[in-house]
Amino acid sequence: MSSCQDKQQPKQDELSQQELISKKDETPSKVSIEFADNFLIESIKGGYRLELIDPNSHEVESTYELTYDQTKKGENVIHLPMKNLAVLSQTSVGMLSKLDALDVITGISNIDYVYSPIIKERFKNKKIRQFGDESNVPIEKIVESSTKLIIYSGFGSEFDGEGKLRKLGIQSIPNYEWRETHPLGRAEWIKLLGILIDKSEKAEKVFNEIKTNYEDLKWKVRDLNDQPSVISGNFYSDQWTAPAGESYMAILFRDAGANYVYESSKGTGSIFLPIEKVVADNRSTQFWLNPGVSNKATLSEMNPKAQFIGAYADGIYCYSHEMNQFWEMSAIEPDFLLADFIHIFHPKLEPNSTLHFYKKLK
Amino acid sequence: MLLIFLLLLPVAGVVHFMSGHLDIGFGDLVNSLFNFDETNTQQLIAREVRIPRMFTALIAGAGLSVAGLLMQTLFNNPLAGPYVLGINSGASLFVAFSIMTGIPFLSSDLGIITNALIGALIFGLIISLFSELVRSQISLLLIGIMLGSFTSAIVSLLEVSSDASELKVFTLWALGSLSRIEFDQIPLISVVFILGIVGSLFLIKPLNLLVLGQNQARLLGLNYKRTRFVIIAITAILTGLITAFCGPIAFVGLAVPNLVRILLKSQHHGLLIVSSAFIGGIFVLLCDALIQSLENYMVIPINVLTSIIGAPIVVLLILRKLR
Repeated sequence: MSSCQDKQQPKQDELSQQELISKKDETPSKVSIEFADNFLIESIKGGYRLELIDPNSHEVESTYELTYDQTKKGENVIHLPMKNLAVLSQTSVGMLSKLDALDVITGISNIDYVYSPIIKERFKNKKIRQFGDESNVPIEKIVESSTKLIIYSGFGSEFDGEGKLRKLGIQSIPNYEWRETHPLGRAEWIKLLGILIDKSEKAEKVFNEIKTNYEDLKWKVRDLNDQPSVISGNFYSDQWTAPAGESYMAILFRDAGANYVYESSKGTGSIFLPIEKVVADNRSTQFWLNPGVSNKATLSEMNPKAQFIGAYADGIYCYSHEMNQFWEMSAIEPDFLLADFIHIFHPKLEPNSTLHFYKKLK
Repeated sequence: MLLIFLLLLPVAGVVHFMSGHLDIGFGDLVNSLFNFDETNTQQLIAREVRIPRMFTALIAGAGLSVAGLLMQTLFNNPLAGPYVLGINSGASLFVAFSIMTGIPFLSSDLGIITNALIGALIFGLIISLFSELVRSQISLLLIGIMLGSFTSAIVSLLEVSSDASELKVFTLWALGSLSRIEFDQIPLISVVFILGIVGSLFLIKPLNLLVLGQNQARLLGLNYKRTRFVIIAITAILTGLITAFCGPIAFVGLAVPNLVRILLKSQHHGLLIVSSAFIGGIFVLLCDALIQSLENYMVIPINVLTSIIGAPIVVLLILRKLR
């Protein structure tokens, strides 16, 4: 498949060149952002204005001009369409995969974390390079790879080498999708990637399908009286780390018709709870999700107190079906994620369905 | 003074027991021990969370302090201790091997304890070998620090090549925790701990002689090589046991024996061993009680708090020595 895409590349480039002339004078159609909080897109003449919002302060962190006008210069100007992208966040790989555009990727962080067989094949054929962790990127290697834009996750405070790379004509933007609090907000970042690689219509279509699937599933469990109790997270050292009540995971639990034990806790990030409280609160909790390990032996090894959680006997599930698949695809497939949760919490609803990301711990 | 420590220990124990998140009465404590009802949450928490944690804090503080005292006397150096001399690092390295090799026996409880004991013993012997070769106390401490750096590098290499779940288990172990011991493990751990403490009490006379210096002690009839081996073996038992279950805990072994010496102004090891065990136990119990009372506001690993309190004590000691 990859070789087929590579052969088609010159033809696509030719088409883009012809379109470029007209696109630089046009104002593209409006892009509506419904669920995502951490970016804004405004259509302007010749392209778009992109505003990235700092997920902590909720203020505009940086503004970029995404333009079809190749003559435009400036510190925050990104020329469209982007053909050579290094994606250091796994979720961006998943989104580009949904757009059938994995051929634009020139670099990734680490091949060991990749799920996509296409990327693995391209890496094997030396069409994609490994740039390592975003805290320490190899600038010369990036320049050599003809990368024009780097998309990173923004886990750290600042992307290392951003200034140097910009001087060398390589832009970098963070993908704050992981800081979105609504599952559809995370998936909506596909719209930005679609614009960057000139596939905005396809991105819109993919997102609308996901949204419809998600909302249909949500409606199915809306009026169910039986709402099983669920806890998420695990003991880390002497504390239990769990998603807060307004977080992405808590929303998914609610939409899947479950009663999240810490739903009333404030915040969109994580909460930290003493072991005693967790044991006392969860002696009869029916489900335990996301312990971060794939078997009960490791779970007990991490903390023997795990056995006192009600769900320990028969209700622990983790995204261990294929870990890399989860990290790569779950952001862009919240509908599959919700379907998994509904299958776990309400198995009688769709008895013939199977789990996509999740697996029961044994 | 010893009487004060004797009285303070149960007080620290009660403070520790009361500092948890839930209200648990004395009746629940008694029932959890003698009339345990698994369906009663208070009793379950008392038996499976609080009692093991209190026990762990006690043996960790007492064991590491006695181990530190033994090292300080053996090397005639107030800055010696299982952590500084790399004995903890030896235990850590061998635990890393046991967790990250993926071999089932090695990653079992028994495998981890055995490896921690072997690691502590080997590194104890290495440092004592170096103590024969170098005369300067500073050089010996530097060698200890180098051993620590060396093992950290090997552990990092193991981390890079291990799989995600093994790495997770090791990382959590390395953070240090007083919650890992289960109620059922208490008898076995008590036996090993008592063996270490009683063993150290058999060393009172040789330790008192070692205060005079190695040569003087030899002149007075001490079999130095045998004594050194026994001291290191006991230190390895205490350090290895605690490191295996709690992860590396810094500064207790260094700070407490020095504090005891300052308080007691004595060099008699009978008094020093017992007092170090008491003060060490009290120190870690109170540190952990503080951690538990702050649990709703912030997460403080035990290793961090013992360092925060222990580091200024060490600095004070160095300043006192320089004067």
